Amino acid sequence: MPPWFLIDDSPEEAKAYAQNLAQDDVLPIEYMSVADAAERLRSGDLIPAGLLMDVDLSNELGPQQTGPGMSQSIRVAQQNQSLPPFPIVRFSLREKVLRNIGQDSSSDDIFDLKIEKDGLSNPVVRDAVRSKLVGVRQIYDVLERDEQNLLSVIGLSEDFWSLWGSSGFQDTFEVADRVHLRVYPLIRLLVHPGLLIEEGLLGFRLGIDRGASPGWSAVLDAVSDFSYCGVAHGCFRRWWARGIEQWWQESVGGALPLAGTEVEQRVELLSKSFDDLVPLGMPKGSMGKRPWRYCLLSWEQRQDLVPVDPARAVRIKPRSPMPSWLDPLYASLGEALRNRDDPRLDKEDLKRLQPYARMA
Amino acid sequence: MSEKLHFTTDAGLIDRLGRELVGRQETALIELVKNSFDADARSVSVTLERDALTIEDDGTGMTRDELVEGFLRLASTFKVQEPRSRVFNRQRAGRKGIGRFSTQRLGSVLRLKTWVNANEPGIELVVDWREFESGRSLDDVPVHLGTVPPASPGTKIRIELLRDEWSDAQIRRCWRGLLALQQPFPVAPVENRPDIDPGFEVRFVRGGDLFNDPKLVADFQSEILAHRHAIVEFRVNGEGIAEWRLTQNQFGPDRGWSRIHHDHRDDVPPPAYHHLRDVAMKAHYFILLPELLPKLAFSRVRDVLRSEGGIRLYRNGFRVVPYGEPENDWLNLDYLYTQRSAVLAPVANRNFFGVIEVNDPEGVQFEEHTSREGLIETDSFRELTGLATTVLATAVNRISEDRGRKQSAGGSTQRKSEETLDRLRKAAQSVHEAEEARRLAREAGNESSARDENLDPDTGRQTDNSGSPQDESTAALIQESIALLERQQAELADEAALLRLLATLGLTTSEFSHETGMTFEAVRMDFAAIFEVALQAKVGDNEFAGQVERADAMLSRLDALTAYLNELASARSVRELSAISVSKAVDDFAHGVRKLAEKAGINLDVHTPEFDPLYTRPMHAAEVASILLNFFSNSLKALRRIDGQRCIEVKAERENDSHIVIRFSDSGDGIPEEIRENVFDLFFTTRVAAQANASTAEQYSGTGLGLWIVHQIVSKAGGDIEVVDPAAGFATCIEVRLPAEVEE
Repeated sequence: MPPWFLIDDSPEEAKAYAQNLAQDDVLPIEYMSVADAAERLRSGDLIPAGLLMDVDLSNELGPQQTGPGMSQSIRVAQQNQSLPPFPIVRFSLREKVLRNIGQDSSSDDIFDLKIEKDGLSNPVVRDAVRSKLVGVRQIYDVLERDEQNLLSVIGLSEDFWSLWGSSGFQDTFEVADRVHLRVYPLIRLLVHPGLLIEEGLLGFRLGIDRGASPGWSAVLDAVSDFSYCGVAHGCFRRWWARGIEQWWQESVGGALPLAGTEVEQRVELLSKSFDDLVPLGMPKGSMGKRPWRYCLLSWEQRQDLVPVDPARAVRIKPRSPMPSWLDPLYASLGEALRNRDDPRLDKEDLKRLQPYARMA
Repeated sequence: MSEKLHFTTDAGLIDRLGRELVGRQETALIELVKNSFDADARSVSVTLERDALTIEDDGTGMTRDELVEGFLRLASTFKVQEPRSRVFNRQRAGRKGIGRFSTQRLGSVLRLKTWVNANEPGIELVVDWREFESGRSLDDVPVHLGTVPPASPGTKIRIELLRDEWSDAQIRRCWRGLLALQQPFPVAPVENRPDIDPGFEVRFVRGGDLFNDPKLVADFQSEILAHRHAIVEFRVNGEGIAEWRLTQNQFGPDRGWSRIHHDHRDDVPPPAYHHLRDVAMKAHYFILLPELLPKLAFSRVRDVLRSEGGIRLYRNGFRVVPYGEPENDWLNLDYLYTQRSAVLAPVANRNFFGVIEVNDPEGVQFEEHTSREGLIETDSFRELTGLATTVLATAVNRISEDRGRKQSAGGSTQRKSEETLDRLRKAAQSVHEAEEARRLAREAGNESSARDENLDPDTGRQTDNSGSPQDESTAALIQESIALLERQQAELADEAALLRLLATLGLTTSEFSHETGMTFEAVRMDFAAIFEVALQAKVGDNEFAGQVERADAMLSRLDALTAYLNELASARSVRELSAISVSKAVDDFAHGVRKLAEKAGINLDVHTPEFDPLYTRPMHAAEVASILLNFFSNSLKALRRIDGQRCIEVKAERENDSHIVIRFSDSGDGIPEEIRENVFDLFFTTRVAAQANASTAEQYSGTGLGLWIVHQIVSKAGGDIEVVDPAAGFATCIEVRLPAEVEE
């Protein structure tokens, strides 16, 4: 198995990241200089398991390159099939991304994943990143085998796909004529909440404080039929969002839709079937009683997953249009008010919610 | 029987009225140009030839009725009925009924041509004033009205057989008489707002003859803009690459085109703009000091700048309101100047006449509000304002540097101050010696000798130099003043040196912190791996395990602090002022120092409102954080001096909608009542000085600088700070009150 290459302009730090992020057989990672990568790209000899690409490559002597620039050249080569398909992951410090890319969305779809170096020394974060990298490679492996059938890729029958899926997603997937183009929507589906949600958001939607609820594992067992079983499911533990709502309707709440109930009500209904559940408390600055999404600003600034009730939260405008199969982005009202100069915040929402803030 | 008669008018009355109503030739010409202004003209050209002058405007022209009822009918009420112009709603400037007499005052023959509509013939009126002789009835003197081929709307007045000579000085006086009607900006309409006045410009040209081209005598360029101190420009091309330059710099070398990006000040070259394209600016810069402008021009330039100064915005040839209108500070120049006047050369709106031209025919970059009151704040607009403000401030800084160099060539303030003090010392010495001599003389009983010394050599009179106690106090007073000045000078020099050192330290720390932060994550990952391997190799060695745990915890604290400092460092690099959320600053502070507090056994408790961000009036982003860090550092020392429970509490709240209050309390050893007033003084400290060979950091730790800096920050922000009585359980509470942002 070829290794992943980490292309970076600071060799010592890059080697530290490569060595500590690597997992012996599953995820071998080696450092590669910018010049070496450029040379291999020219000669068509760049055939890694994947690339971890730093954004700012200006420290290295020689012709100046940038991560997005080099990645674009690789994508062109993959498009004209002079290079085989492999994942490219943006791998940079948050500050470098802000400085060099900022709100510019033009390089967004070049990268399969965007990973920040910040926080990688935290074992939990590191394991999550490893999992994603391995998962992305698995997706490439499956799609490279000329696997065109969406349903077998995502592990759903046609009936369930029609219930829980999206024709918009299907169109995007099926219209793509190269592996990396088909991988892109699939990874978005797995990484961003939308059709699929991860455990944290599942907890929010069910109104349960996972950390304080011994009965949480029993709930997870009960919803296992609605978990994602497609490609790389071992690396991306996800649940079909509409499946969970279906389960709620059929097994818990009946006519009461999950999204429409308040936290206390959700837990009260769940407690009829499960023991030891503690209702989720809305954290400081997050208004409302019907948590459904998370606060993007808290996540970006402190890697803090904060539940938000969209009716009492501020919409965030994405840098590029979001497909309908992904959830819209939100910030909690408290966080939005403290970061009101963030140009992505929806000013109308801020204005609309001001009276609630004053009354609180 | 009664007979019905009528008054008749002698034709000579016209001549008398003309002379009496319009005394000076300049007044007559000014009145005619004002009529063009009243006719909503945008441009007027006055051409003076050897024996004739022509006034040509692009106003609305006159219909036949207007000409007959207005111009030809003496004392008509035509204009009185319309105090404002029809198209641009201008307050009429011309005096009523003076125009026709002005033409008569200036020359013997009037040829007036006027067009209302480009597709229809115009009217020509010819009046030979020589025919209005005494003895003839006014009704008997004809004037001739005819038609002329179609032309663009406007009026052309040609006056022949001029009665006076015209010097350049007189022409310039005329132009200045019309200054109030003109603006220093390109005349341009406002798109979709045909009623907005596009501006009015007047040019006086000395007409060419067979061998010479017309020569410009007076216009805005020659009378106002020519006195500028520099021209500042920028341009952004189709790829978003921005460049700026400084030319016609009166204080130093010009700076040629060089790349710029307001968000990437250190990048060489800076990147292109993401959104902004095809924009250019040209601004004339003036420093409004009497010594820097010609005496005759100073008040003129100053007045026009005060009323019209600023940077206007033109899009596709149309002016966009309200940018650059009086009171509109869209580039925050006035704000910048008021905030930073102590360190910057003038950079307010009144220092510029400038124009930004945007070429955006498709409306891709800039879009007007539906109300037509300005542009929507798109990314392009934000980039434009950022670029413009940065270019203007950068240029002004360069000019300021150049001026500084020039000034220092004549002797620095420091040296001059030393020279003055030297002279004062010598004078004091002389007075002292004279007093001493008189005292000795008195003591020797040689009164006559003393009197002789006091004789004025010129008059032979006795001077009042009797060595009275009054004189003695004068010498002492001078000495005392010298001592005071010397002490203040020394203090200021110390303070300046200290501030320079602190600034250097700050910059170095900021750079260092930044670089450290970049490496930290990788270092920590390596150490984590090393610890893991080492622990596996030394299973059962509890002492080693404890050592690893300690090192790991220290690394973690260091990392949290570095990350916080790193954020502060990047905030410090942003020089713009903005409203600061104290709630956010306090929570970020707690996040940054919590591990350090835990290590010192401190219970850190923070209270901020849930939904009130507590915005201050504009400050530097890092200032609130600096205040909190200073307090924290003092609290750490105070808490280490006690044996009891170590607590810090930070509370932030709004008070009366006008202030944001931060109360920082600790349970340390407290501040004695008698020194509460002094803790914010420079160099006030209760700590002993560091050893001479101590590190710089140690030298400046506990020197009494921290709270003085905090005091400076708070005062500059318009707030106040004091030590107040703490709540139960705490020994010290410092209260900072910052002005709250005024909610619109």
